Amino acid sequence: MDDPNAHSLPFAAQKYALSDVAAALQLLRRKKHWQRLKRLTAWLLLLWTVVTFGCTYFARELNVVVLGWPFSYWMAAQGVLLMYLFIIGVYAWSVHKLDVMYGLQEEHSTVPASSAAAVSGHES
Amino acid sequence: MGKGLPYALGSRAWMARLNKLYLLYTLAFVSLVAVLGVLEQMGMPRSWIGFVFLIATIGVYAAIGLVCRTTDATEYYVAGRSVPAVYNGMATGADWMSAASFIGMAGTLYISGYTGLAFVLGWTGGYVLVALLLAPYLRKFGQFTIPDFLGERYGGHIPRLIGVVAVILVSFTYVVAQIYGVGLITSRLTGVAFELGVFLGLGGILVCSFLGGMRAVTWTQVAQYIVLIVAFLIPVMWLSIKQTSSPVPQLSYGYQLAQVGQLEQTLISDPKELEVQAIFAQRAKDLEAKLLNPASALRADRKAAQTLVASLKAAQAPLNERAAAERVLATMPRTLDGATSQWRAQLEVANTKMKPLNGMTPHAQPFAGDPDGSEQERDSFETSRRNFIALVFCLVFGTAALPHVLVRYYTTPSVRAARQSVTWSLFFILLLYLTAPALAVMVKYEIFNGLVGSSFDNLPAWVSAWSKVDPSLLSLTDINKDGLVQLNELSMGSDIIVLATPEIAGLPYVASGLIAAGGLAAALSTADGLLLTVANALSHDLYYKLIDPKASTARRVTISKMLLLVVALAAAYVAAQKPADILFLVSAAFSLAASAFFPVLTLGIFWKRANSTGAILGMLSGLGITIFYMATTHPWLRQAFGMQGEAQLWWGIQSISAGVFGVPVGFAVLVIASLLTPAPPLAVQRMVQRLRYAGPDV
Repeated sequence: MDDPNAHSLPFAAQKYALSDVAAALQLLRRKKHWQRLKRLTAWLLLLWTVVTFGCTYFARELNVVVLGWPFSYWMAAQGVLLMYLFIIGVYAWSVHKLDVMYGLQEEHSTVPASSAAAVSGHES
Repeated sequence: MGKGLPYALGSRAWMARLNKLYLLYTLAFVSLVAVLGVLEQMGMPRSWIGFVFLIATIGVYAAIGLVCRTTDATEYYVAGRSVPAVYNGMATGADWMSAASFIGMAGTLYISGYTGLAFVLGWTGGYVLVALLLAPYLRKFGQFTIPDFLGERYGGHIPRLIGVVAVILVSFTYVVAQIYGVGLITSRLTGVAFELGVFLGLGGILVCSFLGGMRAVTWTQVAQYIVLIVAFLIPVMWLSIKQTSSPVPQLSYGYQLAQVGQLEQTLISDPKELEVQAIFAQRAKDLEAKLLNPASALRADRKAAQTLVASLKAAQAPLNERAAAERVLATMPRTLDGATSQWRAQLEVANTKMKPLNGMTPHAQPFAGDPDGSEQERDSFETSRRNFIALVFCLVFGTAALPHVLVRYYTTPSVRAARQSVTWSLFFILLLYLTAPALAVMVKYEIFNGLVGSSFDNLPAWVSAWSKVDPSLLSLTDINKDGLVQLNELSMGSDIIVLATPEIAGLPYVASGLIAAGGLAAALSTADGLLLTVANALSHDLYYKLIDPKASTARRVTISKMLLLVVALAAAYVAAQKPADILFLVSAAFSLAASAFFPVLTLGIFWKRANSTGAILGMLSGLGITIFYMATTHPWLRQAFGMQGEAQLWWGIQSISAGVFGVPVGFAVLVIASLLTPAPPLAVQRMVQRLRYAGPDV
């Protein structure tokens, strides 16, 4: 890209260095990865808000007996807490999957060959 | 666990060694409890059991501190970033759960029922924010402290400096409360004086953090977590077997809750209870009348007492009656101020005790008042619901912004481990937080079912034992003189719930020693983490980054240790003064942390455009609003600042939840001020981008 004559050549003949292509791909992957990470975070936070503040705001209305437990009480004492554990468990699991999918994880040993081969030279 | 380096970070061999060590440790601890139990049966005195628990546990913590001593900066500040996710989870659990969680929470839940669950929700819900918005990004950033992040992200010294001040404001009050707790438990466990207890406990804290910094604190906290969770779960499980014949109280206490609900209905309409309430209502009326005209009321009181003493003497009444009358006269307040404050306190008690159920709302009922009732009831319902949600809000955002918890996520080997580690943290915290509400309900059942209605001559053993130990924890007075216990005749301090559990469950004294050792572990581990955070903010951020950036590593660590000593002694000194309203200061810490740190940390990660001016103004305004609201609404602070008249509450929100105003203001000011000033330099924006993925930087 640093070559000032590059643009005067026909597209097919442009001589991009392989590392430039890799860097561009890397940027694109990071952008996509960040978008999906943000979306995941937003959905999980929405769920968190609903269980934390929704269940408590309507606690009086929802306090009917289910399976021997007053529902609102059970939610605040146990249900919502287990939901929190579920949310952060799902988050840790899916973000790692996202990292691997976009080749942005830390441990190189666990990188599947297919997704990282193209840029492995560049990353190190 | 001493020499972390022969093992690759997070390697299997490292994990296997840790697993083996802590398994052995747990077995040794359980056997110690068993041996003490046997010795108790053979006649070992109770005070010895307390001493053995104290010496054995503090000895182990100190030994871990010795083994882990270090002068290396990475080891000292972040435990060499070699703490596996599971162990960091346990350490965070111990770091997080203070004496308040261990001893106080079940009591709060007993007294306030559903309303108390705001603490359970807030103190766990915050971990979702830690996991999703902070921990992985801070781990990727990979420095030593929270002001480090503010300094690097926003540039310039001012954001870092405000960060240091806020860290000290938040953590110091908190550490004073922990050391206070340590002193209380040590003196109860061994019978030494409170002040001596404070300094004994301080020794245990210092050996550990002084020699080995974060590394020693981490491995001690894991050991302390094991002690505290064993100590909490065993007595509660035993009580659960006794009451419900199931060893899993979390599943089985629904039935107890239903029973408590029925007993509450019976008690509300019980004629004897109504009689006691009527007596208290009359007392409240009398006290109000006295307070209207205190000078003449005091004169009349004194005169009446004098006449009574004289007439008893003249009538040759029995000696004990005369002694009682003389005692009343002798303890009568001498000054007008003394009299009015005594009457105010009595009026407060009477006002609570004239209500059904000793002033408690039915256990499973969310909020006070009634949404379909009279205007006053509707109002009470709305205010109580609004305050519940505001409190959850403050605790959630405060939890996610407490510096001593956040730095724990600097210590994991990788970003991935940091994410897993939050999950483990919450798991280990839930073991206790799911159990405390069950304990509260089971004790309530025991009191409604076993104590209320029993005869004063034949009280359950644990009641007579504890009312002798400390009347402020438990006292009973036969108000209507019918010889039977009514609920409203019982006065309890919240700590009694956990402290008396072993006796209620019918366990031997060794279980009470175990509970005390668990409470000590909870207080010590939190104090360790907090002290280190305060000392590191001073040494790393203030001294190294702002005053002498050329200081060598060894010098930095030495300065850190010196400061640690100074901070610890200062905290112990303050705690030994037994400051009033220490609990308020702790709960205030959450609102302060939330409004100082949450906006500036999250926007620093998620919004590249946030800049230095925005950060400075955002932190100052958030903190400012929170402090202003607390100062103008909390009775004790109003008095300290010499304010007159009634407090002006905004939308009826209590002062403990001041952060509900500080956090949004902090966010808004940060955003507006950032947009009005130039974007941060490109290098900073690149740094923010690098935080957003786990892999190596390109």
